[in-house]
Amino acid sequence: MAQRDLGEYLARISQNKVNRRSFLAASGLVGTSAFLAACSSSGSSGGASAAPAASAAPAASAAPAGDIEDSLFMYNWSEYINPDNIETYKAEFGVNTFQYDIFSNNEELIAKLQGGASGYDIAAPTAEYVPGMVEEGFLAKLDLSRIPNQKYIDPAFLGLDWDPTNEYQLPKDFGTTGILYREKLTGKPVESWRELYDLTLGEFSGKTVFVDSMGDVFVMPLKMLGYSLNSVDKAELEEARKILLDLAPHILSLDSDTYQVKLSSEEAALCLGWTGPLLELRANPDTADTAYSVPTEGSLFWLDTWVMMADAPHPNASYAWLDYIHRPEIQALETEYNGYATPSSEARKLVSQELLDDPAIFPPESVMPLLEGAVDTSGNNQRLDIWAEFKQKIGS
Amino acid sequence: MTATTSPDAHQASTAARGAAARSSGGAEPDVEILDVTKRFGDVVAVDAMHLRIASGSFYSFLGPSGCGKTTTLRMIAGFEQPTAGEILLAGQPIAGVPPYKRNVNTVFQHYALFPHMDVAQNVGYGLRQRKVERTEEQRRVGEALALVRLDGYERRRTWEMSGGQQQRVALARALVNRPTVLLLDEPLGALDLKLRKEMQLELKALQREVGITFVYVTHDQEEALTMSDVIVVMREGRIQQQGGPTELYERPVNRFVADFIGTSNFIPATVVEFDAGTRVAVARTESGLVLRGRITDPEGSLAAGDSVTFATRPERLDVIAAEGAGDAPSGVVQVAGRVRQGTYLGDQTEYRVETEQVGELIVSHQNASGAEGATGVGPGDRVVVRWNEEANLVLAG
Amino acid sequence: MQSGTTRTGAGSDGLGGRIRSALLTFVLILPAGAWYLVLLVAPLVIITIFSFGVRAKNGGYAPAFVLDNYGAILGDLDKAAPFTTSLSMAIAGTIGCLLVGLPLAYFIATRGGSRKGLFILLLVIPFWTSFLIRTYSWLIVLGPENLGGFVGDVIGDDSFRILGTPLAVLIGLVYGYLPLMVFPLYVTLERMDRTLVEASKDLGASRWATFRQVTLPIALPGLITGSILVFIPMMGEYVIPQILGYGRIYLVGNALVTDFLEARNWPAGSAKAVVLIAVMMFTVTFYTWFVNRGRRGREVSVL
Ligand SMILES: Nc1ncnc2c1ncn2[C@@H]1O[C@H](COP(=O)(O)OP(=O)(O)OP(=O)(O)O)[C@@H](O)[C@H]1O
Ligand SMILES: [Mg+2]
Repeated sequence: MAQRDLGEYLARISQNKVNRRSFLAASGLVGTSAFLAACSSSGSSGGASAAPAASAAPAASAAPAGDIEDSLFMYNWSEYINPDNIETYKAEFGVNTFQYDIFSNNEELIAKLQGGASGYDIAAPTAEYVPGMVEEGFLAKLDLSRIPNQKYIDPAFLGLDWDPTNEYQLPKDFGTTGILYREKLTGKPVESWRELYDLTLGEFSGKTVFVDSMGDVFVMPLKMLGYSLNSVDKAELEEARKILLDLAPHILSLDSDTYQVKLSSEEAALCLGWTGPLLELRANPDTADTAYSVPTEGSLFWLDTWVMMADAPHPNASYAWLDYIHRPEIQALETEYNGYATPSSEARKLVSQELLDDPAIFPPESVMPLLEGAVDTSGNNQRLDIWAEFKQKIGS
Repeated sequence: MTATTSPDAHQASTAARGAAARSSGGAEPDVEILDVTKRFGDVVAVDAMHLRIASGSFYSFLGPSGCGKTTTLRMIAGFEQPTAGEILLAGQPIAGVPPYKRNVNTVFQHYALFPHMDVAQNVGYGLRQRKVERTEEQRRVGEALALVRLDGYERRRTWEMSGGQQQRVALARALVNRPTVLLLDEPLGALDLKLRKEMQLELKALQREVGITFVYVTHDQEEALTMSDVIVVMREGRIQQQGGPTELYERPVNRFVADFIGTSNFIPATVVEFDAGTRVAVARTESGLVLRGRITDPEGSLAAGDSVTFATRPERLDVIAAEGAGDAPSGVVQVAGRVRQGTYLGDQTEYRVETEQVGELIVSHQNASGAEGATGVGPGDRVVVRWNEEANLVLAG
Repeated sequence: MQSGTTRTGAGSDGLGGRIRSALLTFVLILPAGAWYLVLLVAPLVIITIFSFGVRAKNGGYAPAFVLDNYGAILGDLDKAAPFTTSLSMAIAGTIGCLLVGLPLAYFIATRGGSRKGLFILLLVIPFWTSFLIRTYSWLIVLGPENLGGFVGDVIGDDSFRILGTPLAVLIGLVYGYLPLMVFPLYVTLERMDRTLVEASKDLGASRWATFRQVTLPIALPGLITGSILVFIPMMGEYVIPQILGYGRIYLVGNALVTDFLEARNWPAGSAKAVVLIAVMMFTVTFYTWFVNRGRRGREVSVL
């Protein structure tokens, strides 16, 4: 994709919340044991990295370590970082304690911060939440001179509306919201919100899953109606409400964590969701027919970011991390691990061609015009009411 | 042995009914235990028990802890099933009849009063199970409470009552159902001594009044002697002897019974001669003392050379200062010894006399004439102990 | 404790003693009192205050005094639906726990013999693992490949499923809270004098009559304690309906999560929490009164 075009698209696309990776997606959900293992690892949320203490032996040699603290407290989506990269970081910078706490959506992150949670160094909110966090005074201004590796970030991801002056965040990963479906069951590609709507009300009643994420769910009715997915227009939202309430009784589940299980067991045929589980579903011969489409009416582009907390207790370790994670080879490992696209143009050169060519992971140029970024609309009461009403009516 | 349970007192009270109660000959038996054995795994709790309990009598099971008394009672009540043998209630076999269908009621050792019910509700419980009409229930509960002298206590909570009162509630609760047989498992065990004595007499009076067969379990020989028409002495699941209090005291059939009921002096000896007609045995102790006595076990038989035990009750022995004691008249046994200890017990004084011929003897002297020194002997004194040959009980083994 | 201390103090020497003993009383109850205040009263006060506020611009709480938050719950029957659903699910779950827990506790207490400890251990072991894992395990057990599918096959209905239905939530609730029902019941039943049962049978009551008239009334304190212990968390449950109910059963807990964590509308959530607490207090009070009516027994509580 031409860099300029991408830049334009991205500039146009600018905010929402997304459960990036379901924690189950990360560790091979289809087999029962792996499934349970995954549960258990996430069950111990808030635990420090699983590394044995021995491996954290200080390896100050490589680092311009200086006064890097020996701890780093991170608040992030579950299993969103390659554990190998954490180990390397700990060893290289002599960071003995790497605490990785988990939130399951942006609202939770912010709610916890508003509730007074402190002590975190860095977090990974979705871009549209950054302005609000800046306003609340949660975030530190970044000294980019201390993050030389940020030069590898595709300029297309810089200066976006979410952070016009690039002072508060570094792009982390990006992707889209769309339709996951079992082609074997649908018998044909499902490429528009309209089709999803019709199939859900018709043949596939009770076989459609939506992720449990307000911003993502609103994309469907609004885009189907041809409106902005960020619409807060009363009339437009009212129309969207009707569509959602039409759908509600036919929805199998609102589920951000295990929707891939439902797809793989064929309990669900259709899913409004993310691409995270796609690679694994495809890798299994039984579920290789799983497909993903960005609906023709348009959809959501999301960008996750790195931010540093204003009261970060370990700023030097934080800078070390931010610089470290943007090393191209480290970024490439991240993408290989979590299956989401990297904004680093250097890293992309190191990622396997197979991933690069996967339109579900790296949105192709043809899709870009369809995408819209989110703004934080989670404070809109009408949306909240509709969302609550929709949730209440699921399945009934 | 204290005065309350002296055998003479019983002689009078039991003599009249003794005959009827002692044998199953008189009244119809209410309970028949026919060759019943009960095993718990390897433990034989009741071993080939054969017994008939006459209607209207007061039967006691007496024996040391663990001898199978409770188990016997529980088999009659239906909480345990015999491993072998059969139990009849009023002539009917009751194997397989559940407890709640047996016309038998139990007074439990710790009363087992229902804590969530008041006195009247407790007492009326059995009647309610039988769907007795409400007014009738109230009437009979009132009667039963009057019987145990608890009228007016209907609405009391059971835990607010004294042990003796609770005991009586338990009694009323069982009696109100007019059972054929009332089973009582150490019902006085939790009471203090004084109250227990009082309740013993009350229970006995009550039993006479209502005329129901009482089967009573105790390990207290005094209690059994006080109340029972018939006492069944048990040991390790086996019946040792059954009979009226006098019979058990006067003619214990073996050393266990002689020891368990009252106190005895035991003198081992070897039979020299046995007369099967008069059932009198002559035997010699190791020290050469020759004793004569009647064998108590009516089925027992002896031959020269058998070892036997002579038992004598302490109150049948006399202790006299050795000086001037002279020779014993014929038919009286006399052994010399030295007083080791004399214990003044108020109504009597108990002497422990060390003899060369037969070891230590316990002598109980009734202080009928008052002062302590009536016998004129004390510790260290040389004495002779005498008793009439009649007092010799010959026990096999 | 307080009264005892006070009385001895007052008896000894007038005013000085009384003050000293009052002081002592104060010191003695201070830790418990402070604990109670900080952990129980303070949060209640805070959410009550919050419930009259408004949502701050970026979410959270902004001081105000409005009744909208209550109006939004009580003004519209439709919006009260999570409360009625929660109430019915919690009641059904409590009954379910009773139906499963009472025989179980009874069995362990009366027939457990020397293996009582083992049975209790078996009951507890699953609860050493995380709540999430256990709940997710039910996804597999009840799933279309296992029980759900099996029952579907048996009744010949392809579309039959358990997951995503109130039944699944009920199973999850009963399973999840069963020990809280079993333990108090077990304790009362275990402590119950076994001869009472024999006494009842001896007096002519059949097994069932004995259970009804003796065992059950004596186990009542445990039963009440257990019911309350399971009912209260069930009212606030949100993970089980989310996972096993597929989000199709929407309880107050889920509404609270939506309010606090998604909408970050603390005042709206606080108002729901206040109403929830009110509903629970009313239900529990009514229940306790109902089962205790006409009972003049010595109150033996397990707690
Ligand atoms: N349910 C049981 N299981 C196993 N053994 C038992 C059981 N009940 C009684 N026993 C055994 O049977 C024997 C007789 O017990 P039982 O309770 O009848 O004695 P008891 O004469 O009533 O003693 P106590 O005077 O101490 O009450 C004892 O050895 C006892 O251990
Ligand atoms: Mg006993």
